[in-house]
Amino acid sequence: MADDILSIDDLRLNFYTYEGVVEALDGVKLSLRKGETLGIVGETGCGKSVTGLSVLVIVPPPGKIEGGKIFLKVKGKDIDLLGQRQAILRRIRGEYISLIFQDPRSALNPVYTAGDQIIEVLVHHRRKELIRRALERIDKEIASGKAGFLTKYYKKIYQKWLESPRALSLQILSKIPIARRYNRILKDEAKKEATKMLRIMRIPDPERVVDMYPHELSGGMAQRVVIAIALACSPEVLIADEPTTNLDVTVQLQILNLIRELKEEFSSSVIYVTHDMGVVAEMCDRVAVMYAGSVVESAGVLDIFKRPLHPYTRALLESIPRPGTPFKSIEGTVPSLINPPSGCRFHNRCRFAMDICAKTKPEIAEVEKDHFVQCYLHHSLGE
Amino acid sequence: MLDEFKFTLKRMRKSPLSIVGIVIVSFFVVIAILAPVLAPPVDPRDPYAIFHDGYGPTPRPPGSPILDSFILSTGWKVHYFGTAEGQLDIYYGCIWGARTAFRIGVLVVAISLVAGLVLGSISGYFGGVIDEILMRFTDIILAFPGLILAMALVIALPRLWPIEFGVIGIVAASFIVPMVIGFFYPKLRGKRAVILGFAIVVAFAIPYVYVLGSPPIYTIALDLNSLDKVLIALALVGWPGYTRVIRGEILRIKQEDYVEAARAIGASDIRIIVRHILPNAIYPVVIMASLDIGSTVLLAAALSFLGIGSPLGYSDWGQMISYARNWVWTGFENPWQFWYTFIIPGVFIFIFVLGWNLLGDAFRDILDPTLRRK
Repeated sequence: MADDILSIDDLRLNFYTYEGVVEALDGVKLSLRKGETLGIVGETGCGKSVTGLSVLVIVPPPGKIEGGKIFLKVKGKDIDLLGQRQAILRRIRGEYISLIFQDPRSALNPVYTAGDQIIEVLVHHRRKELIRRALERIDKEIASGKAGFLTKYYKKIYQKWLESPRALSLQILSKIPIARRYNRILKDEAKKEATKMLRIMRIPDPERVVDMYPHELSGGMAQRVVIAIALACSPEVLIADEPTTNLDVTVQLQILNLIRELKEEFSSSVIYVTHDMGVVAEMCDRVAVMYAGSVVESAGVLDIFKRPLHPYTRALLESIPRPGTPFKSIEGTVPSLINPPSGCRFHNRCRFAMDICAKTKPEIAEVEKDHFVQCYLHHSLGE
Repeated sequence: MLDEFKFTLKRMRKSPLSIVGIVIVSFFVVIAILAPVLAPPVDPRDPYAIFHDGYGPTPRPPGSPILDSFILSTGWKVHYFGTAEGQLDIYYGCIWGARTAFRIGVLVVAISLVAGLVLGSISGYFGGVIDEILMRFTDIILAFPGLILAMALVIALPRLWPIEFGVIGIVAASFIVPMVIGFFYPKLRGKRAVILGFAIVVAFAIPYVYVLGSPPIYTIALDLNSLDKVLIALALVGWPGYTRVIRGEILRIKQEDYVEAARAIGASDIRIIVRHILPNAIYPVVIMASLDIGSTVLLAAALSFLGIGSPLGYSDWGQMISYARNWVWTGFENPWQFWYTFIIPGVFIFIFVLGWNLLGDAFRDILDPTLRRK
């Protein structure tokens, strides 16, 4: 599809544990259009977060991607992330795709200040721009006659960098602790940028927060810093992995509003991973429902809530607690993915299960416009 | 970073034991630095050699006058702490022994620490086969009692270590030539140049050296005295401990979200290890190192006492005690007549080790991340 910024096709991922092979993702098919927010919902352990990590190709061992394709549109060209070298992936991570973590406190390194951690991304991906700015500043200083001997030396290094960033002399220089100080002006510029980012995150008094350590920040503030890190290079795709689960309810709302506003401001597309249907209704344009490692239904957010087609989606919506009605839950438990059920993985909990459901797995098919379902109830083969 | 340092100093001031530790250690630092002032060497060419006042076997008590006219001419008048067997001056040995103690303690710990940091990081972060090989290797070393292994190594290590500049030159040239060519041919840069260098070493340099013999350009032999051998042996015994501790810490921190976050912003493996994991993993080894400086000196003293440590007459506390071996017990009428031969160097060792232990304990309290800022 032409306007897909990211598309995942038949993604398979296994975890090789001591108990056996966990088939965590079993043919995930998703697509993210430019500028939209795609919600991924499902129970714990259905593969939501792992899908997010796979897009960045940073699935920690023992997880291993076994097959499939992930296409990302970079400057108008589709590239398959799974076939790329690490060097290229490192440039994509953080610049084109970035991730907001679930627990902001553990996603920040305790030994560095909030500013340091934003500066790290900026220096990694926006070096050229920062060096240009640093040069401008040095020129100003030289013009006003304040520049010292060192500043002039830094200027030479920066100019050299702009000419040939991979020059041997620079590579050697960047490894020597004291000579490396030429990064100072660069980092200073990056710090200004970091302060600006924090202000965009609606953090009061960003000049002070920039120098604060993670343990000095409240949960909401920490999450804003994490979002600032993720958005520092205005990525095309932002993956938010349950960013509000560990926060207070009031702070949750602030963060949700923030993400929604920033999405417009940075013109990113968002994948929002959550298990909270309320948040989905609030945030998303389209929803993909996942169950036991595959996408069982995906459709526009209104379609999902008004006309859910897959039995699992229906059950999920019915199990949202409502005041005055008895509490309902889905019968049975999530199957073990070491020995997943044959056929459709939901068939042993499904009210409408047929014989064929236990035998073969249904294909995901477009039953209505933009409404995909993976179920024999809505499948011509099922008759 | 500076704030952290100030905070550490503030915490340190509040703990009295750490102050005692710092005072003791800095006392020895002063002694070591001022050794030429406190005990001017009789033979300036070899200041570590303890001067001896004749060769008489029986130790003489503190305050005995110096008899040798040459030593008298250098300004020495009295044996402040008496003399040991062979009329070695105990005061001189104790003062210059402080330098030996620091050299052994700090160098051995520094070498083991660096080796542990590098190998532990590789082992813990990358895991797999490298981890398995390194860990089994540390197991082998840890399976032997440290002192026994150190003894065996001191005896087994050769005294002369030939350094053949011809061979080094051939190997270096194998790498430098591809790099120089790389300046003109961009296709041969970076990794490719290194690989070509390896290929030249394997295909050309090694056969050349083994078949034709090493080229006769500048072969010097590094002459290790027995103290250097002690140093090498103790470092060889010490590194597995650090490697294991660092590996364990890295395995723990590798699981943290912020490491994954660093990967998610595109940081490279080396950057993740150096910038994100090691600063969080370093505290236990800092504590371990400061405790180990004391115990390493103790181990070296034990080796010297057994007679395989420092060379004869070298300023070393352990050796001074070994000179007292025959004079500890002198019969029931006057049991500890020669107490100064072993008590005085013993006190030096004891206080030195105590100082480092107190400092290590203080570090443990101050740097423990679970107690910090509570």
